[in-house]
Amino acid sequence: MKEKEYATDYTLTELMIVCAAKQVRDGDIVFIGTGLPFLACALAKKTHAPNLVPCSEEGQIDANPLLWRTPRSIGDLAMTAGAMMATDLLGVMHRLTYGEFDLGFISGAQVDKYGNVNSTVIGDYRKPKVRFPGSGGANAISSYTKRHVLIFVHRKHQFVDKVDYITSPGYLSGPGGRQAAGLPSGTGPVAVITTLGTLSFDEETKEMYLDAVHPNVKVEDVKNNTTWDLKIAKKVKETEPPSKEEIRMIREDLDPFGIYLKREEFQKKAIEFLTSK
Amino acid sequence: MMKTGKQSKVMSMTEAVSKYVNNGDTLYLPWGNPGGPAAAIHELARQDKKDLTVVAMAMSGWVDPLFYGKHIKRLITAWVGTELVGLAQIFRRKVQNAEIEIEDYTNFHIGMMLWGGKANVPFIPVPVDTGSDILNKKGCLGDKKFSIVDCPFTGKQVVIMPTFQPDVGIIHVQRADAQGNAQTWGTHVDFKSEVHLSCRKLIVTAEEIVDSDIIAHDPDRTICPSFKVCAVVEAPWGAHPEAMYGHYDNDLAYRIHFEHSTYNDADTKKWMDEWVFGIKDRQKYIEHYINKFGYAKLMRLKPKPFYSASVNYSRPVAEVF
Repeated sequence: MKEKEYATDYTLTELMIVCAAKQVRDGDIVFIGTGLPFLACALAKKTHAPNLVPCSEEGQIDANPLLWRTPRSIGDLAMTAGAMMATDLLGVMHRLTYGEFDLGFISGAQVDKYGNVNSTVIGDYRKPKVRFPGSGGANAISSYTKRHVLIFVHRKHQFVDKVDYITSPGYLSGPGGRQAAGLPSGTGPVAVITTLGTLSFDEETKEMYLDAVHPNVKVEDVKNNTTWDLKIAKKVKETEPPSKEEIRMIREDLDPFGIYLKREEFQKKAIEFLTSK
Repeated sequence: MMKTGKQSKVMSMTEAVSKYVNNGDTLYLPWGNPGGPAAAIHELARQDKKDLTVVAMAMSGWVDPLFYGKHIKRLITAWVGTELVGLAQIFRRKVQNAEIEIEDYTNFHIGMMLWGGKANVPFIPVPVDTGSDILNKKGCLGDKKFSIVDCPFTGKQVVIMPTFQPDVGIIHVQRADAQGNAQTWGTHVDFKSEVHLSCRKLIVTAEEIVDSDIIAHDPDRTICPSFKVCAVVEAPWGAHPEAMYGHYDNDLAYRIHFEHSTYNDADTKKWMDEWVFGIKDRQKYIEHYINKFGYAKLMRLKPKPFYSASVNYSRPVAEVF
């Protein structure tokens, strides 16, 4: 077998996509969402998980997200033509609460050490300092998928002691927290992929700990960007860099126009295109 | 009130919204992407109704112009945003200034509550945890947000939620006949479970109005019966800048342009004046688009066809045995 050639030129977003893709197991029934999870699932399907079954809360089941183009959202036309089933939100949610989904991805504005996520408000609920979109499907995904993965920008004001609002339950107050809340056993967050590294959850304490740091990131950097006293694995790994082939696929096959990878540049170009004569 | 007879319910958007959306109504809106009732949302913004309560599973896609002005008092939803484009800036400022009372649920809860309304039951049990703040923090519904009761069959605690039967709902479809038999195809967040049928009456806006015979040749695709419908509005490009299966793609550049035009109140007003208040109806809106950006820009949104194989419903023959 050919030896893996590592890429040297890649962005942080691309590295996180590769990390997220590694969380996907072949045959997983996955709840996909717009953005980075799209690209991670598409990469997994093209590499180690060809039997992955992508589904979305829009209603597509066993969709083929890259058949026509990079989907612009779960509601993109590209998600439906070529899917095996087109139901609706309740149709998919009922399968979710029945326990038929293996994996989902969650993002947000704040997370605490038990993996509870806030994507609703900063400040007071009725008159917030900042209002975010809200739960959408996230609460149900974090409640009912067997495993869910958090994707976060790793900054001190986002890794907090207490989130202002629990939109999506992690392990709530710690061991036994999910059971006490009536959540199905065998569910919960399994990893947090951040801009600095990957964190896992301790089986006993249910607390997040630093498992791996990205290349050129120091353990101290991660601790300094976390509000609570972050636990560290006995032996912190270094994230395996992406291969040249993975980076090629991400850039050429998954998002050739850079709608997610080069968001700001893409948006600027889109406005220029529309308003030019 | 709404009979199944053959009288036509076709009218202009202005008339439909003016006649059938009343001050103080609870208004249902479907998910906006694809196929959201964008033309109707612009008309609602133009007419300045008062004290509306909006119920929607997730306000995804083209929804932000709805929040301009003061006509929405309460919002019961799970998510408001513009997906990869941004964060629905108008909505965001409204909530941050406490100018809209909001009640947050999850998409799943709202779907179940509307489904319960459709089934005409007063409350609906939902399989849900009690650990998150979705239940702990109450907004405009207060103690009527949910309750916890003992299941009479298992003895286990179960979360129940009220159901909704909105006064009026507005849906956009590919085709309908003049009486309101409406048909859609392609994935849609709301329609397969018929949560829109929770509404007491529906305004149907359609890409095209077709002969009833076309409807009757494919009854599988009909998502609401004519007797539920109070008005039928012909609205080609009625979901723009979102997509419509079989008609047009979503207009990503326009959506981005809008988001970047709404970062502050002055720019937002300018955009609303140009695209909503200064425009009479959807036809004028599309004319404005062509004048401003060019015909080719509009036509770039036409996707390639992707046909299904036709199906055979069978037509029985009249024989005795």
